[in-house]
Formats: sequence, C-alpha cells, structure tokens
Amino acid sequence: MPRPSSNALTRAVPERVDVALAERCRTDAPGAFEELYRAHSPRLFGLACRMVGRPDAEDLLQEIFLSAYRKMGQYRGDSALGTWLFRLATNLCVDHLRSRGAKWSRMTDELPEEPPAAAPGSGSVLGAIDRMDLDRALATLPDGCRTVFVLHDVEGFEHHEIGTLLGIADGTSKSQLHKARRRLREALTENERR
Amino acid sequence: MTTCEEIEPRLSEYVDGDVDASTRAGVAAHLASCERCAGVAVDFERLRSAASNLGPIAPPPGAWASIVARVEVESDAPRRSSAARATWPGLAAAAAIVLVAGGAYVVHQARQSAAAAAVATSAAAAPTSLNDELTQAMQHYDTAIADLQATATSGEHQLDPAVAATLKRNLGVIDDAIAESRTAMTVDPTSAAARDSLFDALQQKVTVLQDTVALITDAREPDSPARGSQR
Repeated sequence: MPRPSSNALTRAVPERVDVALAERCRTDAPGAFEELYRAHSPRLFGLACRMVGRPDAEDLLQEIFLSAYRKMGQYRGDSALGTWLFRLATNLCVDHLRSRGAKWSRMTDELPEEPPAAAPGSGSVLGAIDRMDLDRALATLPDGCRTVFVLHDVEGFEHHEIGTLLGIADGTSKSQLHKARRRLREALTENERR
Repeated sequence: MTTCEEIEPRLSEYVDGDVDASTRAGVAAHLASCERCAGVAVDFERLRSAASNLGPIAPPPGAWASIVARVEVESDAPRRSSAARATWPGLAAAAAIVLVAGGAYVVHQARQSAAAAAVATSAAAAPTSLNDELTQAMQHYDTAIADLQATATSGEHQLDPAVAATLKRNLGVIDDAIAESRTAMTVDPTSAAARDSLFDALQQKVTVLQDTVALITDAREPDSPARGSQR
C-alpha cells in the first residue's frame, strides 16, 4: 500500500521551543548545545551508523554537531530544528560516501542484471525480523543500495526526494531499493538457516 | 505479464503501491497463482515494516566529550592571538604539544603494531612490545596533562568565573570518559576499542587544557605590545 510521505524533512513543523533553543545555542547559553545534542544525537547517530557504518559514524557525529554549531546562525525557524539537523546530517553522510570514491560512483551506474530472487522452497522465507539482525545485514550491503534502503524504508523518503538528495534518477533509486530488499532477504534467510 | 521473470522486478514497486492500476492488477493475478513470487512480496513487506521500526542508536559515551572539545577549540580560536601563545604559559602549552606529539606518535606506532602483530617481524630495538609502547604513550600524555594542569590551576583565577566553570565542567566530562576507558581496559586489556577510547579522551583533555592556558594568557596580557608582532 502506498504510504503518505512522512520523513524527517516533512513530518515536523517548527515549534517555539526550537527557535528558542537555536537562539540559546547561537548565544552560547550554558547547557543549550548539550540540550540540542541530547535531544537529537540518537536519531542522527542511527542515521549515520546505517548510512556510513558504525566506525565512520562516530567521527561523522562530531562533524554533524560541529557543522550545526557553525551554521546555527543560518537556522531561521522555517522548519523544525530536528528537520534542519536531519538535512544537515544527511548531506554530510552523502558527502562522506562520495568521498569514498569508486564505491559511490557505482550508485549511478547501470545495475547488473541479477537472477530473480532465489526462493529456497516456496512462499515467504522470513519470519519475524530481529532489529539487530536487520542492522547487521544492512551493514553488508553496497553503499548505493544501502543508502537508498535507509532513506526509503527506514527514514520514509519518497524516491523523488532521494533522487534530489543523492543526485540520481528516480528509476535508479527504485532499482537500488529493489536490489537492497532482495539482498537483505537473502542475507536474513541465510541467517535464519544458521 | 505472466512469468516470474517479468513480475519479480516489479514486486518492490508493487509492495510500495507505486504502480499503475493495470500493472497492479497484472501482478496481483500472478501472485494469486504463484506461491514463490507471493512469498517474495510478503517478505518485502516484512522487511519494509521492520526497517520502519528501526529506532535511534545511542552514541558512545565519549562522543559528547569529543564534540565539546572541538566546539571549545572552535569557539575560542578567534579570541586567541599567536603572540599570546608565545608567552610563558603558552610555552608550557607548546612544550605539552611536543610531549603529546611524541605520545601520539607512539600511540600511532602502537596501533600499527597491534594491527600488524600477526604478520610483522620487527627488528626495531625499542620499544620492545606493544604494552611498552602503550605505557610509554600514556606516560607522555600523563606528563603533558600534569604540566598543563599545573599552569591552568595557577592561572585559573584570572579567567571569567563563568568560563572557568564551563571549562571545569568539560574537563569533568572528559575525566569521566577517561575513567570509563581505564576501567574497560582493566576488564579487557586487549580491547582495541577501550584503548582507542582512552587515548582519544586523553587527547581531548590535552586540547581543553591547552585552550584553558591560551585563555589565561589572553586574560593576563590583554594589551601586550608584543601582540600581533610575533609569530
């Protein structure tokens, strides 16, 4: 069933408390930046872990908040503070992936034809999916399809939004998502067999 | 569309409701008669549902301290002058940088050694082992921190009380991270994560103390004629 567009960039509206906290951060009010960190770091760290992998995510979290500190003056209250931070974090994650070079360049390449999803036996092969198993399987995907899966299935972005964020065609985003789901299905099936 | 080869590439879009009415009807008709493709569609639904429930992830305990240290450096930088850092507390800081650079080099060497231990045969005379290298690195840091701490403590009264309180609080956060890492290393002396976390926290403490000394220097010599003329 189609889902209404509901992601970190569209679901939140600015609140007075956001504008006030941003102002307190801008003026270095005691405790303000820590309040910002405590409120938003788990979500942003989750995004970074799933997009770039845990080891790089720890450094990237620092970059995200350092960038937020530098750019807080640009926050005008047009969106929720969490939305603004999420966009900042997503862009930094994408920049980081691009800096990895060759792997990322494959994102825009034509995907190789793969055989239809191998279904050992018949019917559904996945039972209840454990969150940790899914995170582990996600980490094994190539950058391109993992990024699209995270943005679409985890964060709720539409393909046209992903296309804009990543600079790829909507069709490429759809292909990458399909590829990611197939690979995850295979990885989780293998996991269940062990 | 009737074959699995034709249907399968559309299953993701079908599950997302991202197909037109005629495609939807064609896929639905195929799924009604093909258990294998119907199973794939069910699994894609399950994956999508499980993914949407993946929640936030708590950052590691030392993450906030790392950010604080970098923000402190950034926020203080424009207020500092290179000349001020050439005065006596600045020289203490510079000496500490040399010590820490030595420590960082040794840490780097130790980390390299740990990574290569399984395959490398080193003819280096000293340090003789990874543990020696780590101990030596920690001594570098401890010496640098002790020197900087002494300078910072003696000049602390010259700082704005609010600034001093903030610095003290930040150092407390870093000390907690150092203590946590030391405990983790005691529990598992071979843990690379605990070792890296400890050295990162020690480096952060040095950075904050260096900033403290620079602020004291600024407060002590606000109108120094040497300001801006030395480098």
